[in-house]
Parts: sequence; structure tokens; C-alpha cells
Amino acid sequence: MKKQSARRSTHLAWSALSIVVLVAAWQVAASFSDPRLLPGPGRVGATLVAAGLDGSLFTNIGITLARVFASFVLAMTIGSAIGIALGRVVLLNRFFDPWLILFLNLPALVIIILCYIWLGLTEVAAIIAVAINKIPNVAVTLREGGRALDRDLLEMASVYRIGRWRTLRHVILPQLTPYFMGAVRSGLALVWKIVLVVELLGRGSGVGFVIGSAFQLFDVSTILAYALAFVAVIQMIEFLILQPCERRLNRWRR
Amino acid sequence: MAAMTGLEIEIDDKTYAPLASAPTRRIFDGFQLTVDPGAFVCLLGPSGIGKTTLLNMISGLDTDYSGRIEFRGEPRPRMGYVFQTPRLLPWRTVLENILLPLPSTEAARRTAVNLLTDMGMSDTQDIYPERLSLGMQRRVALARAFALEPDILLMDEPFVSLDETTADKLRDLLIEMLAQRPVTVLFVTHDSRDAIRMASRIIVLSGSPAHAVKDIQVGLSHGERLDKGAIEAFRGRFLAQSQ
Ligand SMILES: Nc1ncnc2c1ncn2[C@@H]1O[C@H](COP(=O)(O)OP(=O)(O)O)[C@@H](O)[C@H]1O
Ligand SMILES: [Mg+2]
Repeated sequence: MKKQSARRSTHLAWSALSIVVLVAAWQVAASFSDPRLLPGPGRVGATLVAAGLDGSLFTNIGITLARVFASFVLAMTIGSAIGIALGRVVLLNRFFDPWLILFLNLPALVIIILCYIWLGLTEVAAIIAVAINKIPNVAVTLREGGRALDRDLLEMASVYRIGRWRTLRHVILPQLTPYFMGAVRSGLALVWKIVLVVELLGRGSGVGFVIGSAFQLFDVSTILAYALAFVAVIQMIEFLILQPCERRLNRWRR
Repeated sequence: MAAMTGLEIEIDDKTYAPLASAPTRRIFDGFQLTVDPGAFVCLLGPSGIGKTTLLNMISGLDTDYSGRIEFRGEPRPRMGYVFQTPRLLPWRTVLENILLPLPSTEAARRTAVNLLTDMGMSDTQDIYPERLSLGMQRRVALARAFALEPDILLMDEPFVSLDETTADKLRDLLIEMLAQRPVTVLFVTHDSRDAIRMASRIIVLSGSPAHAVKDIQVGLSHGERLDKGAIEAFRGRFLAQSQ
């Protein structure tokens, strides 16, 4: 235990050092360039504080997070259902595999533009566009999970007649957890980046919209301030929600 | 007490589709077996002869055969199946594993806890199975089978790959459990000591397709079953040439 916490604090020390060096390098680079092109950490920090004080930072991050959350839940639900079905039923997989490959390779931009054209510049279109981008990845990951289900345990469930619901809850879902968590991890990273593009192209609020406007005004300081703030929020979700969740789910492992 | 369940088996044909290069193999061809209610029948045969296949057909896991399997007394009996490996859910505790096939009532919970206590495992109920020894895991699998008060109990070499002392303890435990909770048992094994220690009837399987070459009523008393000498003597008398 002691050893572990010691290792943890050296790990933290290294991370802190690495961030300090990065900021210092940024400062040095900024002092050699046009402050309009690359503002230093001080200026970006001031922009961040100002945006925080007038509330626009929190409003826009909140709106973007809500879109991330909605499209994420939608993509995880539909993607998991499709993935598990494809993993369990060989015939379904044979038929739908080419569709999956098509959707996996469609550029995000194409899906977003088509959604806006077909559904209008609406909130629903934005969220569906993001979800469609993510669904194929979730499906592919969960398909692996569906294929790898332990047959011995499924047989046990059937002999003991525990029923569909208990089989799903106690036998199948726990086996899919690592795949599900994998999809969540890569999903979070992918979804928020796509949400920014969707906001840039067709929404009047959110981090993507702010970055788009800042681009028009050549305001690099705002672009960096919002980007860094959002990265910090996503990291916090990882540390405060995902990791504790995963630890709890993995309690049974030796 | 409920009337006991008997079993009538007639397998006309059981063949597995050939694997890769291996030729098709008929596992059973005109195989018949009647198990009386309350009997402890042991099928004894070398590994690969089709013992697990037979239990899978009886349990309904394998329906790809021609023939009929009928239960006497209870058309759809409650079945306990102790598999060749424990098949416990590693992500559920011992108690949760045992509760899995039971209704979610307080009474069922009490039954399960009492059963664990009777089996000397009350201190393991909140432990995850992979932290237990194989012997303990097999004990939990046995508890799960008994907890649902089965009409018939199928057991597939439940004491295999344990050291002799642990296996012996489990055999004693099973005998004790059966004395308190009588049930029809079909037990398959390749170990004749398992058979002689516990069975009321031993059927020796041999050949391909498998058929019964011996059908022996075991008349040993409880005391004799605990005596290594008596068991070896019985083995010499009835089973020597078949092993
Ligand atoms: N799913 C299967 N497909 C093809 N052959 C199988 C399958 N299961 C078992 N067999 C073969 O059938 C024979 C009997 O197997 P099994 O019932 O497991 O024997 P036992 O339990 O007596 O050791 C073995 O030769 C085995 O290789
Ligand atoms: Mg076997």
C-alpha cells in the first residue's frame, strides 16, 4: 500500500514537471513571436479569467457538454445494441458488415453536412450527426465483446433457467464491461471533437461556435483559452467519473 | 416431500459434425438407460467416450440428436448440473452465485446462507470465486446445485483435478448432503473410486459408439464405503478388467 502511494506521488510529480516544462516552452516560443499569432500563457490566462468572470466560458462549455452527453448516450445505446447483435448472430454480421465498413469510413464532415441539409440547422440534426459518427466505432468494439462471450457461462444460465433478464444482467453485461469501457474512453475523446465541428458549422452557441467566431476575428487567445478549458473538463470527467467507475466494476478481479 | 424424479433415456443416434480432418464419429447408437427415482447412478467410462455429451443432452443444452429423454414424475424437473469446471460467475460473490437461480426472496436468501453454513463455507459468502481454491470453487458449484432443491442432479466429474484429500472431503460432503436432501443423481466419471464410494448403481461404458458393458448394484454399507480396503476389494472384484 505504502509503496503504491509512493509510486503514485512520484508519478504525479513527473506529470507536474512535464506540464511546467510545456508552459515554459510555450512562454519562450511566445516571446519570440507576434503576440497576435501566439499569445503567451499570461495573456491566454487573462482571457480565460475574463471569459470566466462574464460567465460566457461556463455557459458555452455547459452547452457543449450537454451536446456531448446527449450524442454520447445515443451513440453508446444504439452502437452497443447493434454491436452485440452482430457479435451474436453470424448471419446478421455477414449481411451488415459492409454497411459498417461504409459508415466507419465516411468522413465526419460529410455526415455532419448531410444531416444539416436533410434535417435542417437544428439541435436534433447536430446531435444525430455526432451520434452517427460514433455509432460504428461502438458497434465494432461491442461486436468483439459479443463474440467473446463465455459459452460455458451461458450454458450454465440456460440449465439453471435464470431467465433473460438475469442472464443479461449477471452473465452477459459484466463480460461486456471492458469492451463498453473501451468504447466509452475512445468515445469521449472522439465525440467532443466532433461536437466542436458541428457547432462551428451550424450552431449559434457552444465552444465550437466561440472558436469559430474567434477565428473570424483572428483572436488566437480566445481559441487557446477555450480549448484548454475544455481539455481540462474532459480530463476531469475521466478522473472523477470514468476511473472510479472502472475501479468499482473491476473489484472482483484478483 | 415431493415424489422423486426418474429418468428414461433412449438415444438412437448422436453424431458430431466432423471437425476439420477428423472423420465423423458416432458417440451413441441405440443407447438405453433407465434411472430409478432416488437412485445414485454412476456412469463410468474413459474420457472421450461421451459422458459430457450425454449429460448435455439430458440437461437440454444439446438437442441435436435423435431419440428421446423423458423424466418420470416431473415432466420438467428442476435440474442441478455440476459441470466439469465450476462455471461460477467471477464478478459475483459466492452468495450471489448461489442466489442466481433462486427467486429473489428473503426465504431463498436464508436457504442459501444456511446451505453455505451446512457446507462449512459461511465465511466465504462475500468472497469473489477466483480468490478461492479450486476445491472451494467446486464446493460452491455443489452448493448452487443443491440450493434450488433439484429434482434431479447431474454431475460431471465434479472432483476431477483435485488432490486426493480435497476430493475425499468433497465426496464425504456430497454423501452427507444427499442424506439430508435426497435427490436422484446421475454422476459421470472416469474414476472408479468416485463411483464405488457413492453410487447405488454403477454402469460401465465402453466402445465407440458407447454402450454399457456392465451394470452393477453396489451393495456396500455406509461403513464399507469409507474403508479404502473394502473399496479396493470391490474394485478388484467387479471393475478390474474394465479399467
Ligand atoms: N462440440 C463438439 N464437436 C465435435 N466433437 C465433439 C464435441 N464435443 C465433444 N466432441 C467429441 O465427442 C467425444 C465425446 O466427448 P465428451 O462427451 O466430452 O466425452 P467425455 O465427457 O466422456 O470425456 C470426444 O471424442 C470429443 O472429442
Ligand atoms: Mg467430459
